[in-house]
Amino acid sequence: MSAEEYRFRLFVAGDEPNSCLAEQNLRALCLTHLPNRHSIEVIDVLQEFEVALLAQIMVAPAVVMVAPRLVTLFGALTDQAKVLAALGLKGVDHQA
Amino acid sequence: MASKEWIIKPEDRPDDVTARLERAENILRTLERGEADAVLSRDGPRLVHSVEAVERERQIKLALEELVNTRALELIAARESRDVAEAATLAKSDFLSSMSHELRTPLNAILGFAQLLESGPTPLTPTQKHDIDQILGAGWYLLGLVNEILDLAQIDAGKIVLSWESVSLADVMLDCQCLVEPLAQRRGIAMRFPRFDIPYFVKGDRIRVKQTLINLLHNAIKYNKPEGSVSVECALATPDTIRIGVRDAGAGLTAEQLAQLFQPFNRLGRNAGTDEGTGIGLVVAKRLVELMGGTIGADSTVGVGSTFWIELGLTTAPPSIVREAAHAVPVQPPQLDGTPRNTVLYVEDNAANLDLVEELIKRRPDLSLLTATDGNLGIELARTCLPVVILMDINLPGMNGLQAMKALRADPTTERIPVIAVSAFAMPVDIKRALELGFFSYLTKPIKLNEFMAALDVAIKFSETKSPSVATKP
Repeated sequence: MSAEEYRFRLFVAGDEPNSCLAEQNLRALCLTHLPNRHSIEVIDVLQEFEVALLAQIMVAPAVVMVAPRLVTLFGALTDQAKVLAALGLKGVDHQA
Repeated sequence: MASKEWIIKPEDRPDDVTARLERAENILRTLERGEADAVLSRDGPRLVHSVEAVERERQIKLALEELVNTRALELIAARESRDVAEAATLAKSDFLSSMSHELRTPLNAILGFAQLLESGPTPLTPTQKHDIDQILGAGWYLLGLVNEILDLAQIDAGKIVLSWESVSLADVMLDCQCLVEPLAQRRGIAMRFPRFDIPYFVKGDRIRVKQTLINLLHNAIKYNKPEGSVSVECALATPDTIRIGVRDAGAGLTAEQLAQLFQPFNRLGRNAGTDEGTGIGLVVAKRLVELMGGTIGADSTVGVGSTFWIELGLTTAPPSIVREAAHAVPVQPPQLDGTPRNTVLYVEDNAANLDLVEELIKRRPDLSLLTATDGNLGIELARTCLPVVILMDINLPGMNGLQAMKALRADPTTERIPVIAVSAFAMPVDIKRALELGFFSYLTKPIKLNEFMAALDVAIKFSETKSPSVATKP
């Protein structure tokens, strides 16, 4: 079975503290659990807020997993266990 | 105040409401935990840590909380309201049924015994006649009031059943004319009724159309000037509808009074005297007319008079028109020809009702009466004495009349005896159920002497024409 591509859109508010944290946490999580199977698009809501509105993001930071299924999370993503559970990533094979 | 426009739109999630609630909750938590840097609105992003934005954030939080709570309440309410509505309808129905019964039972005693006094063997003195007229008048009035109130309640509960007929306006008008003449004469009011050169037929329930017109006519007579007049005018409103107007020469109504017209117990401050009328007639009339798909209204000029009108749909004549012949059934004992007395069994627990029927049967030399105060005894007596007809009260202690009826039907010795239901339960649904179960006929309390005697005679005749050797299939 070929590996699924996990696609994320991360909405940040410039380099505000929570947004930086959120980016850090997301990248770390992806490297650990989804190496070479992920892509992260970063959107700065302070620059491109229409894009955010279209995506129905009302609060930043927020991450939207677009594929393989649609999941939206808000906040700094500090509780990794919770994030994994929400994304449905528990027990995913870590190997490529 | 944060607008609600941009809060939570449907996404491509299947479970819309739950998902939306969850999402709202997540946003709230994020804001509360201080993990939000910016909030977005149609006007643009606001950084949370700027003073302005803190206030905005608070507003968003409030709006989201409100949304979450509202939606949660909506879900709960929707689930509950269905249950509540069903329970309420059931409760209303039971209440109506038992109120109907409770009110009619004592009225049966009042009217029954007063009728006995009136038509008794010894002639009455003028004073006695006058006194009994008072009792009867008040009794019938009370019955009318009870019926109107129950009608209203029934309509409110959505339980009225109308029959759809082609009603001949000419016939109804003639009936109404006869019924209101006495009142008009007493009040010195001249009545003018239309002449129908071509027959008009309206769509509706005959009895209800009559009821409505009589209500309007009574009002026109009551709220009139001395030596005044009432004219009934009919004209086509559209090619398919006819307007029947009742015009009076009374004091007229102000615009304010017109607006309050069709409300219960609101006589607009006017005293119509102690004559007929209970103040809820117009409300019933409005509901009935609307149930028949028509409209009702009033026009008025102060100092000149008022016209109350109804508009009903026109229809073609029914296939065959059967005229109602109002016969007065005389209360006389049938010819005595030496035949042995027939036995009537009356199953009833109420002493006053038993007394009444005892007196009634005393006037029938051809009949003798057996009584039982409960269903079981009644069945026993039926089996051993084989009466020619059984009168069964429905509301008995222990085994009720319907159950007793079933038992009688199930027993080959008693299955052919006609059983007449006698009951203060007068709701159409009760009558229908009883007739479906096999009751021969249904008498509602308060008992009318003539109807009672006629029903007995029909049942006895039915009994006599069936020979025991013929097996009747249920």
